[in-house]
Amino acid sequence: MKQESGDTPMAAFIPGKRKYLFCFDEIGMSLLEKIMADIRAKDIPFEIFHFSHQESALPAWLSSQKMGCYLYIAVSRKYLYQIMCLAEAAGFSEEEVQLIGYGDKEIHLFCCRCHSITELAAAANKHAEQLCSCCGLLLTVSSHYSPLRNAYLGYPAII
Amino acid sequence: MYKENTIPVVVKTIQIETPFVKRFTLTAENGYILPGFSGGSHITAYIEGSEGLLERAYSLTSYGDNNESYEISIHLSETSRGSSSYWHRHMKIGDKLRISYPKNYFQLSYRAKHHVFYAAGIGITPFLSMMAELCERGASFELHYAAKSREFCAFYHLLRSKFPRQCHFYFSCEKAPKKLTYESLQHHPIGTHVYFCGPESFISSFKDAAIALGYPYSSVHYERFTARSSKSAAPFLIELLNGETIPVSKEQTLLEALLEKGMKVPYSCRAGRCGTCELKVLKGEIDHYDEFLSDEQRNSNSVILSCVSRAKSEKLLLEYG
Repeated sequence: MKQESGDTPMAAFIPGKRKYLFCFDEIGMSLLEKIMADIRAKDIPFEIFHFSHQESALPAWLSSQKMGCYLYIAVSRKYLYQIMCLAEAAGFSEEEVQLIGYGDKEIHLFCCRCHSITELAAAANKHAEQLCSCCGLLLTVSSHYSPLRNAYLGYPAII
Repeated sequence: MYKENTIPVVVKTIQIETPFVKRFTLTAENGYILPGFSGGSHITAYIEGSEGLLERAYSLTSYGDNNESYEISIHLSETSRGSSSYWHRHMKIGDKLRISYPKNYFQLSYRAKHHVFYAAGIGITPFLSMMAELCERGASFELHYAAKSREFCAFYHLLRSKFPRQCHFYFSCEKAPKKLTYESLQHHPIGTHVYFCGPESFISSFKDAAIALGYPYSSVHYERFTARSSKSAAPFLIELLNGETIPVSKEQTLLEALLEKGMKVPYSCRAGRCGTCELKVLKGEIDHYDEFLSDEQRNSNSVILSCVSRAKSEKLLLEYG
């Protein structure tokens, strides 16, 4: 999946798809406005799913799609990973999805010793050493992001 | 000359599948068990023909039944360069030959939620082991298979009995002709991977149709019987590091020219798929026909797959020799 990154989320138009899918919440909609306007102007088929945090209809909507679709997800970063997992479970590959998140970005840190996840506030200094919230090991935050864990791998700060 | 490790085998049975397709069962000459393989695998068969050593790749059509034999099915080609003709007209039960260990350049995706196979004619062969593997895994799949008629449809009865729900047949020359079209590509659910095998025009047109619909490249798989080739191949020269210059005629591949000169160049598939015969190019413009290199590698103009690709310029300087 095309990962969202940085503080200014930007959606990029990917041409050559038979249909475009937009999944967004209230603020997320504004991040996709330009692309949606372009797609309307070109008369390309599209579908919209308004996400409102506890959305039981989302998995069925995702699973009902056919090959050749392209999915944009623009929601608060709080829910981005959850929706990304639903899209993956429905069968979307990373080449078929674009993620656009907004709001505070939590950093998840995976402890190499006890395998637990420590949540760090967006404001936390990624370069500073961090204590594992479970086993107390002092960890350095690596640049190695694991999509499986949705976390950066933490290695022992003192060897 | 480079030679890969081979297994000596004996032809145990020969069965007629259709008027143009024969199925051969091969067992190890020493009676040992044969190596296991995954769905979509093939072997290279080496036969001493009247015009020298013939080597051709054939999909393994058996899967998991036993490890004492392999099955391959061969279509008698109208344009046979000797191999299919030899298998059909001269091969007898008890004949001995050598085959390579199984290789797989047409693997099943482990990410797919649903697999769809599109076969035309003898293009059915790799799908037999792939479907058997998916059946064993309990995975979801379907087959769309085009042939002239039931009579010319290899494995028609086997497929109908083993996978009755998954198989869709398209017979173009029967009383009520049915043509296999791209239309079904529009209906596959998200998470589907498609696989194409058959004549070059069939593969190219279905692959292009899938990409035009928006299928990601990684969800589209195909296996060609033969390598893509230039319609107007021209002769060219290659220069080696030791200063030797070797001509490559328009009927020859670069690999064949090197092998003819006794060079120990490694190779395997001879169809531009495996990358074994990759050579570095220091000078000259390459005409790529492989399915292996990335766009970045092609644009760098610094590597060539000698089994299929040629020169656009008059000469290529190779980092070899």
